[in-house]
Amino acid sequence: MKLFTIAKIEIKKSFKATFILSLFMSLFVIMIIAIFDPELFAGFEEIIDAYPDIIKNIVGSAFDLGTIGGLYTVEFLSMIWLWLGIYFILKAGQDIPTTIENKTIDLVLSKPLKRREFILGRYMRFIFSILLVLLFIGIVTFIMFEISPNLQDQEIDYSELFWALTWAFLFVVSLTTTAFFFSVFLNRKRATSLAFGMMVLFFIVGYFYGYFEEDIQEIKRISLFFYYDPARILVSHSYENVLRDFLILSGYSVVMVIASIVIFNKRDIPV
Amino acid sequence: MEVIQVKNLVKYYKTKKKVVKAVDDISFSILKGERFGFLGPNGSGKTTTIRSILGLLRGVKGEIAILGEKINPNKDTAYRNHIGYIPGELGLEPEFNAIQICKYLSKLYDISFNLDEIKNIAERLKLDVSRPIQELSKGNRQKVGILTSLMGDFDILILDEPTAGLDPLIQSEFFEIIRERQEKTSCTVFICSHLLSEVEKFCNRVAIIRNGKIVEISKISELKQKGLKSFQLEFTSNAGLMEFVQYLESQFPSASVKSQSVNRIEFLITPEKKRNLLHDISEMQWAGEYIKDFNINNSSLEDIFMKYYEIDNPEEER
Repeated sequence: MKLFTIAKIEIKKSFKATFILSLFMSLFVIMIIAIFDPELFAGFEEIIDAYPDIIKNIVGSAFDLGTIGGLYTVEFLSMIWLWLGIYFILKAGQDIPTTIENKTIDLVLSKPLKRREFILGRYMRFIFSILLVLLFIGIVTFIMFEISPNLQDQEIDYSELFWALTWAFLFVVSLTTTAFFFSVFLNRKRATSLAFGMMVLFFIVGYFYGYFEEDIQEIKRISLFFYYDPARILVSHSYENVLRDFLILSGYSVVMVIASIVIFNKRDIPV
Repeated sequence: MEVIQVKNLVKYYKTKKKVVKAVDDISFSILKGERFGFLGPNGSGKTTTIRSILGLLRGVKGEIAILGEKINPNKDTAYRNHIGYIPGELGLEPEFNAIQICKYLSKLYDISFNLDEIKNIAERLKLDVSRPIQELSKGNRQKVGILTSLMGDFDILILDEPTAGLDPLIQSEFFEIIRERQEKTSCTVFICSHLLSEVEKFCNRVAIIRNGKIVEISKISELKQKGLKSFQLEFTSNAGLMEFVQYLESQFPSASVKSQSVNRIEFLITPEKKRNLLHDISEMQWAGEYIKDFNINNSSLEDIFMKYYEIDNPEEER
């Protein structure tokens, strides 16, 4: 399959950057785990509890800093849009415009390659990169959970960690897909600006819908952030609506990729 | 056999403010084994025509047939297996070297890849295949593009400004390589170039495109026959020359002067005016004396091209 060849070559090209990102994020995760102290963080929890709801909403929907799952959610998983989302939005928003602007696309598309293969190949590179980063972080998290002396009295359910990371994967993929969608018909600047704009809009709607007029609060359903709440698994130990949210995030990405293919198929490749 | 057939090709670019007619109802065909030149000033529609054939543009109207089979460039891709192509503005992966790019394309498109042959061509073009693209000059990048276009077996070679950035020696070597490939495979070459002297030497037939329309399509030899005539006259004195210049301006206002010195002048004139002018030159006296010497040639392809170009640029005609 030509799309796998394209994806493979693109992953190879960006492997160093992906590896550095994985390393950096893993160090961050190691730091979070290393500083964990249930008694100390229980105190923080009381302080944060006294904050207005608007601040608490930004940090996450559920607080349990006295457990490693809670701290891991608040500091890392809930903020994954910031730690990984922005990086991949930036990369995906620039992807297709860069190949057009540097003219590499001409040589590729003048050969017997279907445009959908080209688009899927380029897109898959992001899927694999996000997967690699989260896999790396997941392995580091697992090792740290196993060896950290301060976690010995913590009850850790690894299946919960697995599903929470899977959720994070689907969420980052959906944000990246939004940027990729804009990149197939806009230039670099516009695509990344619009993707960031969408992310901010989703963030505001997804977290602060409670402050809107009651009759428009259902607008929360348009936000990707509304369908991402790893605290539900790691803090509340509940899988309620998790499958629904997985399907919505995955379905959103699939629809956006199909739309990307349709739009790219209709556009000129300018000189 | 017609290997490329284009009928009533139309491509407009629509912007918010206006519609640009990039290619406006053009038709031409190229025969097997032919070396076909496509000439025109910047923005005349050459690259748009090529990109339409290769399916890089959408909303193209008209018919295109490759190797006798009608194609839909927006849907079909298999026909591109028969085409080798060098784009006008070549973009290559900056981290790769020439061999890595060839291997990548070979893998992606299942093109046969003869490393020795590629290395041999690179050597002839004086290209260091081990250096990454980002370290190469524009000319050397162009050489990598040439390597990629010559990979595999193809029936048609489309070259859009292939010698851009190459020095004259390498340009000459490039055309020699193409000639050799053509002798070996009988492929057809479709070339867009601003190097008119090279096109004149290399091509059998040319089309001249202006403002999206083909204004001339002919064998180069025929084009030169029916094209402008170049007159070189020598007078015995400057006074004779000045008198002749006044006569030329009044009787043949469309003549274009190429060069003028103290007692010599070279100018171009349309073939139908040749007889009248010849008569006057031989019969009339200029400042009391007959003309000293004269010479008439068919104009070069460059002269013919420039004549068409001047119509677009009246400023330059002056």
